[in-house]
Amino acid sequence: MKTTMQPTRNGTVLIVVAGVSALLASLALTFLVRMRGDVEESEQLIRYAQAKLMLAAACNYVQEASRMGWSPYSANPRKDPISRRPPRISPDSATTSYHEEAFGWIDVRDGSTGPKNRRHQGTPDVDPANIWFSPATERDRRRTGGTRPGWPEVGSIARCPMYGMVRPPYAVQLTAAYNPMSTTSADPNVFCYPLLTNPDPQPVVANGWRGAASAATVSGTNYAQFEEGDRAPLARTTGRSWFRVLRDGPATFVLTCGGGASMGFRDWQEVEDLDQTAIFGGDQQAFETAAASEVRLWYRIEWSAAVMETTYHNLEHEIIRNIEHYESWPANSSQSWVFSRRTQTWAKNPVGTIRWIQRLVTAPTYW
Amino acid sequence: MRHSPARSAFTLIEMMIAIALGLVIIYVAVAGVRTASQTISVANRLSLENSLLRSGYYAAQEQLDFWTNLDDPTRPDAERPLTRITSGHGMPFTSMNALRDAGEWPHQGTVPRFPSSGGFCQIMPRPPETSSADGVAEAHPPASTTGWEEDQGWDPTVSWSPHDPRTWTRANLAEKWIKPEDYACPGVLPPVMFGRYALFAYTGTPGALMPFTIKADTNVAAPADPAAAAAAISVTYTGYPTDTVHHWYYRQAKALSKAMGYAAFCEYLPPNAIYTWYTDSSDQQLTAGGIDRLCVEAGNDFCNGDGGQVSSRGIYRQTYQTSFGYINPLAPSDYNGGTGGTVADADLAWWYYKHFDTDYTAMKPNTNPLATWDGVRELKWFLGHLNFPQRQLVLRPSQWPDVQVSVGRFIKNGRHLAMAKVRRVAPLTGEVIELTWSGLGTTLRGARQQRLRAGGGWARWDNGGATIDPNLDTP
Repeated sequence: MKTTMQPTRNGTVLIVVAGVSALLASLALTFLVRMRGDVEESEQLIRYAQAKLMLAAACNYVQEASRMGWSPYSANPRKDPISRRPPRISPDSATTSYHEEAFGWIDVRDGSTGPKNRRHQGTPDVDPANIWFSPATERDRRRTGGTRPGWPEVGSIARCPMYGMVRPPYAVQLTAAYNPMSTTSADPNVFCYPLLTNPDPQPVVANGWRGAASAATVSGTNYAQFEEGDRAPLARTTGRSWFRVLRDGPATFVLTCGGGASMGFRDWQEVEDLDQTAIFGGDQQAFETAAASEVRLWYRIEWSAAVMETTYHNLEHEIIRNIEHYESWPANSSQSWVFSRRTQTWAKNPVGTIRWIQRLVTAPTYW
Repeated sequence: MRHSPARSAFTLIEMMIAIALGLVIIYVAVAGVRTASQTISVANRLSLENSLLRSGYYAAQEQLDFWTNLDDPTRPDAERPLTRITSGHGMPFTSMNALRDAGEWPHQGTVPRFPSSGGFCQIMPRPPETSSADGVAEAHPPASTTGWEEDQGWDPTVSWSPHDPRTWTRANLAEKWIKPEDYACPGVLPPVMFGRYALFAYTGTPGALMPFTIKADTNVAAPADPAAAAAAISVTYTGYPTDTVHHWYYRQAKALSKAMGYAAFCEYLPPNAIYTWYTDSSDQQLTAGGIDRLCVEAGNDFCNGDGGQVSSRGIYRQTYQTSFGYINPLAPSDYNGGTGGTVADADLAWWYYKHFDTDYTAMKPNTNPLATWDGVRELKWFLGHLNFPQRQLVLRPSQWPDVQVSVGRFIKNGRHLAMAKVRRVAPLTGEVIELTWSGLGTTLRGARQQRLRAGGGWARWDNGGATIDPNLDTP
């Protein structure tokens, strides 16, 4: 006799199985939704943290740009012999551009607006091909009544997308100990001595050194590569953070710090004005999406030429005792005395200081 | 033959197997649901915990940028103790305008004002007065406005706010030294101890500094260039001006030291400031270039704690062993005899005008049972009240973790630090996870510019032609 289950019993099992499955599915869905929400919130936090990191980067940039000098050419003279850069000759030449140090956003020699070179010449226009600087645009000019000049003049903007380079200029190896102490030698003149037989540090590019035992010597063959590095961006580091500097006074700056993939463009119009639409594949929606999801923070800072302090914790007092103690020495002082034991003042800071930082409560009109 | 009817039920064995299998299935189902449920619970708990930690991180960043843990400008005045003038001392968020209204602040485009007598220390350059406290003998009240120019700096239309970069012009300090045997006045310290700095900071009798000559250092080989060698051999000064000695640096520095507290004093002065100045006051051990007491006498709380050497000091020297900080006014008043309750204004002012040992003198406890001072105890108190933790959720379910946030700001070894901490305390186990980082954000001066000068609230700033509100630093 064939036995069969009652239809109602079949339905009961189905309901039970379906119910349990639905319960498990809902729990799984809840779990996934929760995890996704957490990840999204964490991503936002990471963007915020990266935007805050850009504040430090922007302040460093303002400080270093006060002194690092300005050149109309972005190319390294060693990199391309047919570049437009003239041969490196005396900086005292009145007719040849030269990449030389400047004297501050406010020139420390006469209080005029800098940066200027040794001949008190103003900064030349920066090469538009240099990706670090955005030249003036028609839209910029419209926004400011046609007065916005090129960076780094007052009123101009520098846009700085940040990324890691494949190999930064002057990159050195991260070897912790080039000359480790010997802990096995029986020779007391060797045991536990770091004999400094290897140059330290060593460049990432090959310099011919194959170790002290090989009797090889350092070669300058690859020095140009060492000097230039490989500035191609690392893929995983692009589109994550940027900063943007508006010089709104001789020594005051509006900083915009961004965590996201807009590359520091204010809007799509600016992307088009600068002919940079290819960065976003020509897709305005892609830019708008990136801009909408990123974090932007606005700060205002002031740079000052004042550098560090003049305290000299004077060992003369301890050694000689018949002269003043705790003398004051200026940073970068050329004065010297053979018995001096300079301590803190060896720490050089040639790029000025940030007098104050102010997070702006609301976004300014121009940035 | 008659057959028994067909079996219509399970055997006992079948039943038992079926029941056992059913139980296994039910158990697996229940266990699966239970595990899934627990997973969801754990996920929810971790999610909540992460969410609270994230909110703590954001809160710390907001504090780094807006200083709201110390002063919330949206709160009523009664809840903003750091905006007051207390016991003759300003606090970090006291407006310059309030100081001016107290008679200590010059109006734009006018000569500096000064109190008729007494009151707290001068805030800005002032005309001459008699004051034995600072060792400067001057006439008070002034018989005329003669000499006021020197106290206004070089531009009489400028009110010389500490906010103005021109207030802190520096002199050349590189020419300060001569060999002991070449002193113009043997037996005393060289009169060019601070180089020509005295032009800006001499507070004594005009002309008291004698002529002097800086001679070549015989320990250094002369330059090969004859002209350079001649120039290096000696530089003769014929004496400082006899009637145009400027006082304003001294007065502004000394006044500023009473305006916002010592930590703010260090921030407003430029990094290369010297915390001393010339004076020939009789209460100092030096003549012809003695040093005022403010920053170098051990009895003064701005002095470094390791001694009372009478000497020139920069910010590193002042803070390498001693720190000044922005102590949270919400921290309990349990120092200097405090009972642990809400700190009184006078004690709060004392907190902001006191140094705290943060170096070797704070490294070991005082084993003398009769001693009242203990370096370790003081350091712990200082750090604990700088980073006074505040709960993210004051009212929370008991099973929720407790997340506390603090940002402590202080100066140490010449560096201004803002230390942010986010701490999570597990509700059941008491386990503590703490995230600590040194943050970069708004400085005190920036925070003062964020706040409206009067009435509370945030000051607007815009570069697009909109109104720029007066802030705490607006004269």
